[in-house]
Amino acid sequence: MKPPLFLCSGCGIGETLDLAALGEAMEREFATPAKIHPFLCGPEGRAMIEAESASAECPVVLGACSPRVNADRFPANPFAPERVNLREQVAWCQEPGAAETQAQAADYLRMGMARAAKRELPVPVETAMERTILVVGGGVTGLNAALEAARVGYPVILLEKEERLGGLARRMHRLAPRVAPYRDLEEPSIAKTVALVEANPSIRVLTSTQIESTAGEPGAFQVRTTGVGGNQEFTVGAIILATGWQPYDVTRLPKLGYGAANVITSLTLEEMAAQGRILRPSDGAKPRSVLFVLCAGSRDPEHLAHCSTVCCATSLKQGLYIREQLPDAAVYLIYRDMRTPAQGEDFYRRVQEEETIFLTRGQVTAVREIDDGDLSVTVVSSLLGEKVELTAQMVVLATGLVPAAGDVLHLKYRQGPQMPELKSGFPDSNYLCFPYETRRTGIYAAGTVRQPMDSVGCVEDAAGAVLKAIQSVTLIGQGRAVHPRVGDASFPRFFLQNCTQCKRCTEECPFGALDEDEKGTPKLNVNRCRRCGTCMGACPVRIISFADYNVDQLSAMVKKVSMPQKDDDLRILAFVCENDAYPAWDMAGLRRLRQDPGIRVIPLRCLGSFNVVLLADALSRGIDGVILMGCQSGDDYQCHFMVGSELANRRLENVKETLERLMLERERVELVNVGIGDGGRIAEITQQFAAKLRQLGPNPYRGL
Amino acid sequence: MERLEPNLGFLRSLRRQGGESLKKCFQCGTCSAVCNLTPNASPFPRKEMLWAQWGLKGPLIADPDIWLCHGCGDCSANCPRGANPSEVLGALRNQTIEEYSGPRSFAKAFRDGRFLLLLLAIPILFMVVAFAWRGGLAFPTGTVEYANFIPEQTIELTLGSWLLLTLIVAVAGLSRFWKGMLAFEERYRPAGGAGTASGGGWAGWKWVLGQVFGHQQFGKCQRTASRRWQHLLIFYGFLLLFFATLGRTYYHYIWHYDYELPLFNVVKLAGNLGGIILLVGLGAVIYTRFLRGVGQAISVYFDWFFVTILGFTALTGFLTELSRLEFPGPDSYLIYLSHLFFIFLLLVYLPFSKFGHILYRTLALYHLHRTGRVGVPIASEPTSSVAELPSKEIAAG
Amino acid sequence: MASGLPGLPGLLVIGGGISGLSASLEAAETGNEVYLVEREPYLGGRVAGMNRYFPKLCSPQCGLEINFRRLRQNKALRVFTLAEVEKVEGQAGDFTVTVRLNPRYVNDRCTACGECVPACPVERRNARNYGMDTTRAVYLPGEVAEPFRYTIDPLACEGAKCGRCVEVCRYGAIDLEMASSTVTLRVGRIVLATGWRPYDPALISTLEFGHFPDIVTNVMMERLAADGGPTGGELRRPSDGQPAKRVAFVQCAGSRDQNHLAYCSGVCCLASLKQATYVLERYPDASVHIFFIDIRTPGGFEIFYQRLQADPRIKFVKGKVARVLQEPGGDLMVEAEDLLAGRMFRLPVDLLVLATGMVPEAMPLPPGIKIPRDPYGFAVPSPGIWPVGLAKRPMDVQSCVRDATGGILKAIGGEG
Repeated sequence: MKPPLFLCSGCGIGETLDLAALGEAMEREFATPAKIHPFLCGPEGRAMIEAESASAECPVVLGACSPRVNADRFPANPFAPERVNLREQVAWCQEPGAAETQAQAADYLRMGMARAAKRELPVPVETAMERTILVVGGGVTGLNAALEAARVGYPVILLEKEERLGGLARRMHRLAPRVAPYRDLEEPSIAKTVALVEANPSIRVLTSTQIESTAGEPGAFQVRTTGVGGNQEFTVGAIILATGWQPYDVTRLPKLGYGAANVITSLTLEEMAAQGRILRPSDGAKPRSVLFVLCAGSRDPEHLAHCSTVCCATSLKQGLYIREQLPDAAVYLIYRDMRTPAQGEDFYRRVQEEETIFLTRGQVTAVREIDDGDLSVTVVSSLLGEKVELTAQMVVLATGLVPAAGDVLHLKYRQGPQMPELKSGFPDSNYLCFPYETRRTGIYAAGTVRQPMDSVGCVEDAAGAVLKAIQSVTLIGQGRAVHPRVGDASFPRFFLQNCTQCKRCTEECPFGALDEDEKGTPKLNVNRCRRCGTCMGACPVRIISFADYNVDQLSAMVKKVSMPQKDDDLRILAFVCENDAYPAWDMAGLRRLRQDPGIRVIPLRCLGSFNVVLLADALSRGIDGVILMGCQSGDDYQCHFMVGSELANRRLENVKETLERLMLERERVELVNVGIGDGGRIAEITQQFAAKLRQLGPNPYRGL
Repeated sequence: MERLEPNLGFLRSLRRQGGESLKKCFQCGTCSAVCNLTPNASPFPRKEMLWAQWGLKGPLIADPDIWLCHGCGDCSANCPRGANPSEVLGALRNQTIEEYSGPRSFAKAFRDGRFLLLLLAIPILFMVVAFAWRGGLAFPTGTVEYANFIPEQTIELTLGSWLLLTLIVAVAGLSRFWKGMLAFEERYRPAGGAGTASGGGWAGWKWVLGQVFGHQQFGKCQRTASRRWQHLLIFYGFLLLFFATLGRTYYHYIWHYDYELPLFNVVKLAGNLGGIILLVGLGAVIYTRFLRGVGQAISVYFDWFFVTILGFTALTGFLTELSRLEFPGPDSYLIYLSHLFFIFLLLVYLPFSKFGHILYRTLALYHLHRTGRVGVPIASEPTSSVAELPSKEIAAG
Repeated sequence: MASGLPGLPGLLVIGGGISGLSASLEAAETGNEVYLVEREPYLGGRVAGMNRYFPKLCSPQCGLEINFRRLRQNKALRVFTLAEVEKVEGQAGDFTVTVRLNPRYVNDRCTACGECVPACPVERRNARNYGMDTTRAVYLPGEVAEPFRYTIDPLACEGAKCGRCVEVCRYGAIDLEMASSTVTLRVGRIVLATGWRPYDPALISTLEFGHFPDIVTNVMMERLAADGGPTGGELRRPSDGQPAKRVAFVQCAGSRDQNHLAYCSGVCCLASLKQATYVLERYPDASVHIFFIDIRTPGGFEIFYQRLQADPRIKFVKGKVARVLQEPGGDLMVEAEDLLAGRMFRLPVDLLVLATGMVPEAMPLPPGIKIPRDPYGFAVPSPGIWPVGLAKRPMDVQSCVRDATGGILKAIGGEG
C-alpha cells in the first residue's frame, strides 16, 4: 500500500523545512510522489486531497498541522487522514533550516507513512440490544430513574429489596424547602412518586427481591434474582445502581452517648415527628430540651471521612419539628460548620429566627447520662467557651450517610462482583468533568450511593444516569465505544493461537471487559470494552490488536526513526498519551518553545497500551532514550482509563531489570506525569532528559 | 467547666427591648471588625450577640462592653445577616438598667407605655398631698418670686429626700454591676499582657474623667461621627444647668438671697446657656436619630421616655423664666410647678431610665482601664487555626 | 446516527460553558439534533479560565479537550459561537428561534498561524484575564480554544482604515467587512445554560477592591496561577511584582450577605482551598490564611479539606475580614476578629484574595423566553425550557455536568 502524501508549506512549515527535499526523499523511499501546497487546508488544497483519497486504499498522509486542529477541513472518506504534525511539533519548536530539524521532519513523515500503511478501517460490531433498563433500588433516585426512562419509551424493571417502594424517603415527615422562597418545609412527595411508578405500565416492579448474579454485557446483561416470587431471570440493556444509603452504625458512637435511653438518631426523630409523638424513650415524657449533635460519625477519619452533606439541613428541619410540636422545648444545635449551600442558606436563616433554637459552632466530645435520663453534653472549641457543658433531656445524633454499595449486583466479572469504589467507599466517578464515568460499562450509579446528596440532587442524578444508560445502549448497539473514546468502532482482536494464557490482559483490563476460561484464555465482551488498548499493552506475545492501532504499527513507526550522524545528537522516543500529554506538546509548540530536535513523539491511546516490546525495539536499534508521558496516577489519578499510567509504570519497573542485564542504564527510560496544563513544562522536561542522555553518552547499540 | 442554661425570659425581654433581630446573627465577626470602639482584647459586639442569642443573662448583665458601645451603627450597616448588633447592644443596655434598678416591678414600668400615667402620677400625687398639707394651692400676688410660692428649703428637703432614695437604688445597682464585672473579669484581661493604660484607683478614674469630658469614644464612630458633638452639647448643657442649680443653692445658703438673680449673674448666665446648649443638642439628636434613623434605627419607648423628659425639663425651665416677666400670675406658678415636676422625673427616676447610662458607662470605662484593655496593641496575626479534633480526642472526651 | 430517543424534537442549548457543552454533547451522542449557541468567540465559558479543578487539582483543559474532540466528530451537533438568541417564537415542541451571528472578522480559512498578531497595532483589555493584561485586537481566545481560530474585537479594531492584519494574512482569512447575519432554527426544546459571572467585588466597600492593587478576586487568582495567564503562572503581587508569599483569602466576599448575595455560592470554600495549594506549590515557604464563617466542603471534598488542615502552613481562621488597610509604602493589612481566640488582629499580607460568589448571568433573555426566576435570578423550569447548571443554582463543575446530562432528558422528555 502506498499512502498518498501531501505536504503543507503554510504556517511557517515552508520556512523551517526544505519541503522539496523532504518530498523527494519520501518519493525515493515510498515510491509515491509528495504534493506540496502552501495552504493545504484551503479549498484548493482540500480538493487536491479529496481527488486522491477517494481512490486510496489507505489513509492519505498529510504533513501539516496537529491532528487536533482543523479536523473539520480534512474529511474522512472513509479513512480519516494520517496527520503528521510538522507545524506544532517541528516548524514551531525547531531551528529553521537545521539538518536535525530536517531529519526530524523526515522521520515524522516516514513514521506517518508507516502508520498509515498499517491502519485498517475498523468495522463496527453491531449487536441487537435489549432496551430494558434495570433500576436497582426503589428509593427517591430509583423511582425517579424508572419514571424518566419510562417517559422516553424505555421499559424498566425496578428492583427493591424491601417489601415496599420508597426507601428511606418514606420515613421522612417533611422535606427541607426546595423551591423559593426556600423557607417553608415541604410535604414529602414520595407516596405520589411511588403511585406513579406503580401505575406505569412500562415499569415492572419487583419488591422483596435481590440480585443473585449479573452476567453478560451492555445490551445483554443477564440478571438472576431471588425473592418472594422465587428466582427470576431476565435480560436488560443497562443497569442503574440506585441503592441509596444507610445511616452510619451508631453503635460505634458510644462516646456520643449512643446506648443511653434518650440518645436517638435523626431517623428515629423523623419517625417520632411523623407520628406527632416526640417523646423521650425513657419515660415517654415531652423533652424540655433537645440537643442535636451534627457530624455524628461524619468528617472523622476514624468513622466516615466524608461530609454526609445532608445532615445540616436535616437537623435544621428537625429543629422546626420540635418548635412546632413542643413549642416550649429548647433546641440546641451544635455544628462544626453549618453547611447549607446555595439557596439552602435561606432555610438556615429562617430556622435561626426561631427563638428557642440555639445554634453554635463547636464539637461535641462526650454525652453522659445524668439524673432521670437527662444527658450532659460536653462541647469543646465552641464560641461559647473552650469547654462547656449543656444539659439536654434528649440528644439526637445526626448520623452520617453510608453508601449502600458493596455486594449488590453480584457481577460475574473477572474483576470481582462489586462496582469499583473510590477510596471513600462510594462507587462514584473519579472525574469531575464526567460524573457518570463508570468502570463497568452500561452500569451507572446514581443518587446517594454515588455520593452524598440531597433529594433535589437525587432527582437530577437519576435523570442523568438514565440518559447515560440510554446513550450506552444506543452507541454500543451501533458497535461504537462510549466515553471517553466515543464513537470508536475499533475493538481488540485476539490471535488466540499464540496466546500463552498468562492472564495479564484479563487482569489488567480496567473495565472488566475480558473474561477468561478455565485455562486462562481471554474472552472479550466487546460491549463492555472501551478501546483503551490496555490489553494490547499487557500482552507479552503481541496477539492483541485493533484494526487501526496495534503494536505492529507502533513498532513499524519506531523502526522508521533514523539514526543521527553526530555522536552529540540524540534520538529520543517520546510515547505520549494522546489525551493530555499530546495537547500539552501542541501548546508548547504554540508558545514556540524550543525542543531538542532528536525527539520523536509517538501518540498512544493511553499509556496503558504501551507494550514493553516497543522499548526493546527502540533501544536495540540504538535509540538513546525513551520517555513516556502520561497522566497522573495514584489516588487522584487523572488517566482517562483509570490505570493506564500506573500500569505503564509497573511494566517499566519490570523492564528496567532487563535493561541492566543488557548493560543499558536504567536512566535511559523514564516515565513522567504530564497533564494537559503542562505545556510550559514539556520543553524543560525533555531538555533535562536530553541532558541526562548526553551525559550517559550514545546508546552503544547505535549503528550495530 | 461552665454549664450553660439559656434564659428564655431574658431572651424574650431582650427582643422586646429592641433586640428583635438578634437571632439572625451567624457569628461571622464582621461587627467586631468594623467597630472602631472595640478594644483589641476580647472585642465586642460579636460575643455579646452569641450570648444574647443563647439568652445567657449572667455574662451579659455583667458585661462592661455593652457600655463601651455608643450605638453608632457601623456594625449594623455592615452586618450580612441584618442582625443589628447596634440595636441589640442598645437593648442589652436597657435590659441591664432594668436588671440593676429595684424594685424590679417598678423598673419594668419604665419599659412599658401602659405604666406611663402611673409614673407621671407619682410626683403629681406627691405634690397634691404636699399642697393639701399646706392648706391648698395659694398663688402669691405681686412680683413673681417662686420662693414665695414654694420655699426653696421645702424643695430641697423633699426633692433631696427622694434623691436619697434614688442614690440608694443607684448605689445598690452599681455595686451589683461591679461585682458581676469582677466575677467575669478574667474573661476580659488581655492574654498578651495589659495595654498602654491599666490599673484601677486614681489612674483609672483620671482616664475615665478624660473620656467622659472628651467623648473620645463617640468620635470614633464612622457613620455617625456627628453624634459626638450632639452628645457633647447635651452633656455640657446639662453640666452647666447642674452648675446653675448648685449656684442657686449657694446664693440661698451663703447669701440668703432667695430672689431671682439678675440676668448677667454668672449663675444665671450658666443656666441660660446650659439650657440653650442642651436644647440644641437634643434637637439634633431627635432629628438625626429619631427622625432619620441614623445610628440605632429602632428607638424604643424607653429611649423616648428619657429624651422627652430631658427636653421638657429644659423647656419648662425657660418657660418658667420667661413667664415670670411676661405673664405674671397663677400661670407662671403653674409652669414653675411643671418644671419641678420634670426635674423630679429626671433626677428621681435616673437609675431606672436611660439616664442611668451615665452611671453604668462610667463604671464600665473604669473596668476597661482596670483590666488593662486600653491601648492593647492589635495582634499581628490570628492565633487560632481550626485544626479539627481527631477522633482520639473525642474519644478521650 | 439513530436516536436513542426516537421521535423527539431538536434541541437548542443556550450557552457553551461546561453545562451547555455537556448538555449538547450528551444529547447529540444520544442521537439528537442539537444547536449550541454561545455568545463568546470560544466554547468552555468560565471553566476555560480556570487553572485547576478542586479537589483533584487537575486541569480543566483536560476535560475540555475530550469534549472538544467529542464535539468535532459529532455530526448531530451544530455550534454557533459569537451568537446570540435574538427571538424565540412558538411553544414547547415547536419553537422558532432567531439567532444573530455576530461577525468574527476572521473566516474559516484561518489556520491559527498567528502571523496577524504582530501586525496588529491595537492593544485591548484582556477580559479573559480580568483586565490584568492585554491582547492585540486580533487574538486567539485561549490555547485550547474551540473553534481554534483567531477573532477580532470590533470594539478595539480600527477596521478597514488600518487593515494591516489583512495585508499579512496569507490565507485571506481576515474580512474586516464581515457583517452580522441571522439564522432561524426550529427546535422542540430549549436548554438554558447561561451560566454565571463573578459578583462585582467593588460593591463590597469594606474590602477595598480597586483601592489597593494587591487585592484580587478568586477568578483573577485562577488566571494569576495559570500557566497561560497574565504572569505565566508566577504568583506575584500586582503592585510591584514581588513574590506573593503571604496570602490571605476572605471567604464569603459578598456571599451569605443580605447586603450583597444572600445565598451561599457553594464553591468558594473549595476554590480557596485549591488556590492555597497554588501558593504553597509555588513557594514552599509561603503562609496562607483562610478567613471563613463556615468551611463548606460537602461529600468527598471534606477529605481534601482534611488534607489541607494537616498542613501547618495553612491557617483556617474563623472570623470574617471586614477591614483592609494599607499605609503608603506599607504592607497591605487585613483586620478581623479571631473568633476562637477572642481578639482582634491585623495581618500583613502580600496578596489578598476575595472569594467572591457567583451570580446567575443576567444577560437579558431573548424576547419569547418566559421563564420564572427565583428572588436571586436563578431560573425555574418552565414548559419546554429547562435551565441547567448555574442558570439554576450555584453548583460546582461536577454538579453542572450531572445537571446538564439529566437536564436534557428532562427537557427532551417534555417535563416542565
